[in-house]
Amino acid sequence: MIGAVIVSHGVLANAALEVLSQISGEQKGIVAISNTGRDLKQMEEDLREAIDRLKGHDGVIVFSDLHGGSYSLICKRLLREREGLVLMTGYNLPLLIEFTFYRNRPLGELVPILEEKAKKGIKVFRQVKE
Amino acid sequence: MSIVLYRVDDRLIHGQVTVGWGRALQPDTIILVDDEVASNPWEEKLFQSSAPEPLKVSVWSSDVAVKEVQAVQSSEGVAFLLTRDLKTLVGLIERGVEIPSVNLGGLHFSPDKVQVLPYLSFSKEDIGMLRFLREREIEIDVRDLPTAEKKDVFDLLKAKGLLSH
Repeated sequence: MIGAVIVSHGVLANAALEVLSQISGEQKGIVAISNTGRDLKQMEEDLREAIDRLKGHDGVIVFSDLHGGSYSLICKRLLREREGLVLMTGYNLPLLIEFTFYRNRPLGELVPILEEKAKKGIKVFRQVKE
Repeated sequence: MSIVLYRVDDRLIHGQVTVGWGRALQPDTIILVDDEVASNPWEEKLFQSSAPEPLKVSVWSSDVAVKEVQAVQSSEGVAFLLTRDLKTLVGLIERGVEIPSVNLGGLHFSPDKVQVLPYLSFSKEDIGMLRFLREREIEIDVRDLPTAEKKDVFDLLKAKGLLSH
């Protein structure tokens, strides 16, 4: 089973986790953290602590709302020292929902599935002129 | 390159800087003045990778900044200069770098500081440095984003009883 940390600016991560539990059912092993009021060093402590809380999982994915945000930067730092950690940036709800259904797969199989599902989760519809 | 923003932000390069200020002022370079990052090539690359293309990131130590800022100020292009704390920016001013305005964009709370805004907290030492800026008639621009209302830092301090005049 793969664990997850959802990180974001403001309330997005906590809201995403709440919505996720409404759609996929209550989830264990998913933690949400926010950058609100935190400096870089504090955010690094928060992320380390969140990942440590998921010990016992077969790997952890950090879902970050934005590449270029502080948590993405900090997570890249942690990737150097931790095995079984993956960072995915720019998450959307389709991606997180798929995570809840595929998270029993090994990390190496799971990540490409999620990447594809996230991209396919964006669909565009336009007015059809009759 | 003119430097259009001198910003103190303990998150350094992040979304507010690259997106919020970046889209508004269209810089082509961010100059990060930080001895810690400048002394570690891996960290330097890490911060460079945080900026969206084609934005360039130069990481300078304070020593390099003291020598180079003036040349940058008078060359073509648009740049931001970022430091993680007031001490670094004030250090540049003390060493002769001319800075017209300081944007206070993010000094987050820790137990040794007093919070005046959700994104702004000051230590005693910081308050001394704000007075230093005022004495030098350097504008102090309190805004996390360009669309935010500018606030007077000394009014904020007075409201918290941290300053009597």
